[in-house]
Amino acid sequence: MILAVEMLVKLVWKDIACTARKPVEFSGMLVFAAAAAVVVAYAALFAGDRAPVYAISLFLVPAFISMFVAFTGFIREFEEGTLDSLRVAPIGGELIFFSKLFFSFILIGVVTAAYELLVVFFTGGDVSLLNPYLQMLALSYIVYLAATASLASSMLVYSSAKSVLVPVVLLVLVLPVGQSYIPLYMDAIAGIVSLQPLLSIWVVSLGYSLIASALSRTALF
Amino acid sequence: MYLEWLIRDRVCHLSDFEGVVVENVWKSYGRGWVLRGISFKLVSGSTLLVVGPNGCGKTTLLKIVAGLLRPTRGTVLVYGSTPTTMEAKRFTGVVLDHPMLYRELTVEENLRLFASLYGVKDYDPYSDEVVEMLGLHRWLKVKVGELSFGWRKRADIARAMIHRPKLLIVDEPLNGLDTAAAKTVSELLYSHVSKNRGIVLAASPTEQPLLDWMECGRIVDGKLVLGR
Repeated sequence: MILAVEMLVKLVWKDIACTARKPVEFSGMLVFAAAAAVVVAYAALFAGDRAPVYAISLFLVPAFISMFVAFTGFIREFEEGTLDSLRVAPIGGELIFFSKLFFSFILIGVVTAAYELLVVFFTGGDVSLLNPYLQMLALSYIVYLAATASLASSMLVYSSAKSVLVPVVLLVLVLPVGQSYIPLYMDAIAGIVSLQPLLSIWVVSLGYSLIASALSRTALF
Repeated sequence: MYLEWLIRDRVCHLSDFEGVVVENVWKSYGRGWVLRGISFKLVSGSTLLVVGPNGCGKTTLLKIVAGLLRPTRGTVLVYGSTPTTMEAKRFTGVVLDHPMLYRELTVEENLRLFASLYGVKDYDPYSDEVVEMLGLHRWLKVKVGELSFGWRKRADIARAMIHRPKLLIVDEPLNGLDTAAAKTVSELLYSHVSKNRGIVLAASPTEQPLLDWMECGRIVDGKLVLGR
């Protein structure tokens, strides 16, 4: 168990180091977050009710970021020839998948956090996007997105049409659960806190991550 | 055709076999057969050099033994386990025709990463004899992406041998190396076998002279034929 955790940490560190030393990708995501924040802040300033604007943006922006992340997962490993070195190493497929999931979670989380802070900045200090309950909901959504991005990346790694299929598969997988976040986000922004839907949505996210792990093993190995 | 190399003079069950068993392996990618009923056994300390023209199925055979491809028909066992299992992977080191290292990490970081993935405790690349033999010491702090193809290939061989595998699967190891480096790698492979470890290797015709100490088999029409 300790060995598995140690391997998981090494694999996640490897992905973080590779991404940090390839700054174009990460910078590109931050530029996307900044552009999205400008548009959303502008819409929020002129909207009568800011809650729907923020809620929809918190659904869409992380979903778009997860598309970029899907390409930096198994697909990048495959294109650089390193996926085979992981496949021949004596480590479980689930461990490799979870390392990608954790890395995707960190990357989507960091870029989403940057997006939220930029919205606060561009709206001149509107901090309604930063309330803790909303952040707990957003975190569970990011877990779900990280699992979906990793799954799509593993499913389509050998496809010749991956550049088109990754966004399509991601949106198809994200929409059913993702859209249920919008009313919860709106409630959270309005200050309505309810633990029951928060717990349910976390159970769905974590359960989905486990299912995605099992499915990815079939796709990759 | 059924070939056996240096088989010990006793009957043993396939799953107890100390080495590689490839039995009646067929492989198709959808149209026609690339491999047609290949069989051989390879005990510890023996070698098989697979040769043949481009597209004859050398790499396919190696990838099946490495567990990267599944045979359409037939059985492959590596020290009693199917190649995709963790047990078999612990015994195996794989070098493919392309370097399988992370370009953004240094050679040292790559080696330390794979040492931990293979469960090698307290690995130190500075005292690794394979690293020394390959002349990689002065490149340990350099990012793999900044190395020439030849040095990347050498670093990849060091990666594959990090856990001193009982079986080394190598695809065209001398391809892209200069004469001196090719000789060094050939000597490294020879010393690997002298420690009672096995090698399955595919080579192009230009690589064969430096590997003439290996048992050789040619793939002809999808079948393995003993001899050069």
